[in-house]
Amino acid sequence: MKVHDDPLETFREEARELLTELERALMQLEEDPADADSVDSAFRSLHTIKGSGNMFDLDQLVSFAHIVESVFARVRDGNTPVSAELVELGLQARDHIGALLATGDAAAEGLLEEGAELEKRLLALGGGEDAAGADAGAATGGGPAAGATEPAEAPATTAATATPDATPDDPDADAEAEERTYRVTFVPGEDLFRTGTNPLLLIKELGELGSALVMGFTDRVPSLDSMDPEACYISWDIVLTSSAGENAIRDVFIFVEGNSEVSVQLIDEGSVLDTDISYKRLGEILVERGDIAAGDLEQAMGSRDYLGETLVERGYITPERVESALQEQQYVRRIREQRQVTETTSSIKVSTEKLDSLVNLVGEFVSMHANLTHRAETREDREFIAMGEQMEALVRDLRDLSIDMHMVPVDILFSGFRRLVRDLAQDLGKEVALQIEGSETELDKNVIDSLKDPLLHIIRNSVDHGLETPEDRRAAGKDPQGTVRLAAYYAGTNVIIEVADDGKGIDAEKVKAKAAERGIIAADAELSEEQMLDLIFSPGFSTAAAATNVSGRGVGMDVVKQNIEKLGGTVRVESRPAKGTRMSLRIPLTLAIVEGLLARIAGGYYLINLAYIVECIDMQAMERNADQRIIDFRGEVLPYFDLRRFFGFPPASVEQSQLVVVSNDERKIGLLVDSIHDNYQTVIKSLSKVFERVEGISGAVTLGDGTPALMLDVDRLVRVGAEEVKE
Amino acid sequence: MSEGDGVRDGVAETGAAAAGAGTAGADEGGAVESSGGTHLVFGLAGEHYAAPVGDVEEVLEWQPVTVVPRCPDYLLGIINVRGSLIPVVDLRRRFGMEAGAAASARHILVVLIEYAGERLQMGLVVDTVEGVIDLDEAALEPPPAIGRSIDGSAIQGLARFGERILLVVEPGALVPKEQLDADFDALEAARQGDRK
Repeated sequence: MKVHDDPLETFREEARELLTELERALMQLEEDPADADSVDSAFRSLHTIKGSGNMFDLDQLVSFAHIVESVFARVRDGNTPVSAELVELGLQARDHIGALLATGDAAAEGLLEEGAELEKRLLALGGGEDAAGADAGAATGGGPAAGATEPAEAPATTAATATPDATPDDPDADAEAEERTYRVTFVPGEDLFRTGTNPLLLIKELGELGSALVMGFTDRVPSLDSMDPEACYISWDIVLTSSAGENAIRDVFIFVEGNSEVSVQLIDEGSVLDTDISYKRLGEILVERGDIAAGDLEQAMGSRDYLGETLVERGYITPERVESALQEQQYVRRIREQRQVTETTSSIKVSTEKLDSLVNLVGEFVSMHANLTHRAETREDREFIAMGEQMEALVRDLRDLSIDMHMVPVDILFSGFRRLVRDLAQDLGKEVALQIEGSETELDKNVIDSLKDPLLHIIRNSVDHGLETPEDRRAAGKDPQGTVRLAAYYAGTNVIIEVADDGKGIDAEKVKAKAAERGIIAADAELSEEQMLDLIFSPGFSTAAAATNVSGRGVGMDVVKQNIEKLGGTVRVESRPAKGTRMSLRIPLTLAIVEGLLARIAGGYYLINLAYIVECIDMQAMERNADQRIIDFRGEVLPYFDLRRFFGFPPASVEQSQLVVVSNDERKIGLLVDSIHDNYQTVIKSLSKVFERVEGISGAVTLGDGTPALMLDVDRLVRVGAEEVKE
Repeated sequence: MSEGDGVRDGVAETGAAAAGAGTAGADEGGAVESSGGTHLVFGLAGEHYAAPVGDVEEVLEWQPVTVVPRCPDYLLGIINVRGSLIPVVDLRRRFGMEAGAAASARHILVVLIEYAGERLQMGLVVDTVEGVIDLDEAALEPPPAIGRSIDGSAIQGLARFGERILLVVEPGALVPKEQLDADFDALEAARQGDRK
């Protein structure tokens, strides 16, 4: 099929997502073999890959996916247990499909052989002959063979239903999962009460299977003189949408079947492909229900009046029955409409490129609006100002929405590491449990992409260098299985991502010795433990005594740190000997927009990210020690840092300055600025590359009147400032 | 998007394209229809320079520059050109000439430079913009070995235009990364020295 590249590329992209989904399900199964949802999920992913692959004539891929799919079909049906081998083969199969996907049908010989080998093992796992038979059946479309192996179910369903299309059909798999709508007619025998049955309980039970529309009929109730007070005259129609399947519905009525009339008809397949939302006409429904005869309907159709009214007038039917049929009609239309809506909304895909430009445009728009407001205010044009204020709400919503669209849960990042940790542990002969917490935490998509490599590196380090072998752990009195904890949580406008292990910890003295050996520090340097640990982030440092194929590939923690800092984030390391190591990454929620405090230094405007700001202080009121550049901040000794001096501007009177107290988690420091202005929310732009060596500035923003202002690199300033004060 | 910037002072209203600047120096002999040899003539410390118009994106009137601190003195800071923040280099300071020329006469040429493998926009502050002329590149004379005010690497040659001698430059080469790095290094060293 030689079409344009695009649809195939779309398929590939989707397939890759499905493979990720599959991997996640498999990893889940490894942890909890009884997790039926994961089996279903694995099956669905494979089913979809197979189905879509068919459209592109990817025969190799389709036939392979089919085999894997049938194995999981058997697992789902309880015919094959979830075993370690199944997970292992499943993962290998997943990789194989990935490889086939990459090469298309021009797969290399080696790859195909590998596939054939995997196929053999998968079939063996499926359970010999039996499995082969089921495969053959499914491969030919499912119909007869599948039916033959499950004789128990087939007759029951066909016999019980009136609708012809309610036979058990071949997408065997989806029958359970998909929601279908049934019309259940329940006409209890008159002696129902005598058996002690409460029909309302039955209806309630039915309602628990899904969502139900219940309509009661009293048209069988006789006039008072001929009524038996102990008899049941009421009947019900229930329109039920449920994924439970017809047998489950029938089971509800199992004890009253003998003396009641129960019929279950499938009236809506629940198929996504069923795009016709109109459903049946009233007359059709009534005839289907047996409420009127087809002949009567035809006669009534001749009338110009509304069909329902005509039928009632002519005495063919009671108003109750018409009402019930109309309700059914509306109900089915409604669920069909809803399905259309949910299908459409959940399936819109937008390229990240478009999203990026949307965020950029909105960013420009935010600046433009600020510009406009500024103009309006300087002109004191009331009307103009009012419009600006109205617009502000819109701009804010638009901005929040566009940022929100750009946010994705870190789960997409975290779940990929399950496989990594598992494979690493196997390679290194270690036992490792990966605990994931806070995977629903959301971050900017671009940030997530840039976090992948640094996190990969940190996790590798944890498993490779952090965790001990099971023997060593036992000897140290620890659980032979080590734990790596990967957690994400919000902290203000930041997200903290932690990678913690319960391994042997980092030996700070060893780090120092190594750093001295590599000439990173002087041999006699006096460092605190924290500073020693920080040395692992120095360029040219690697703790691996011997580089394994896992870590120590020349990429060091310095690169990790650089990458995180590029995102405007920070990395911290904490370690306790024999207890473990924890790396914390602090990442801003979004790169695009920041809320900051606008300060002036020597005539220029500088923005300080609000996330760092603790408090602002007027220096005039402060006791200070001019020589040592420290003030007494609520009994705390707070160093302060003169930004005029740091930036090389002429000094100004400290008394007339303002102090912005900032903190970066590690330290608190005061930044001395000339004056403080409003809070300001804006888009951050990176500075031109020619400024890459400028310290203390991390970006630039555009103010309301178009003037550029600089974004202070608070984290850097805190560190430089703390060092200077120390000297 | 760009319309909105019209409300900002000093940029869009006066931000005429290179060709438009030709009116400023109509007496120089007038603009010739663009060909490979069309050059923009600008003045710097009493000398005349010519740069291929293809290398000049835009000519802006002088506008206040937002200072970026801790930079070599010629790297002044940034300006906002329709939403893009562009670094500005003062060419007089870059070549160690004395400060001069009233700000009002000065212009900023927006050029594309090659910087560490990337194309970047950069604003160059010049004293005057004199016009657009057509030069026959084949008639370029080799630059003099001595007596020029700016680095030789950026000078492609000399051209005579009427009475005037023009130094033909390649704007992208006026602020090379090596130079900037060296100047940042020097600044750093000076600061280290101050602290000790």
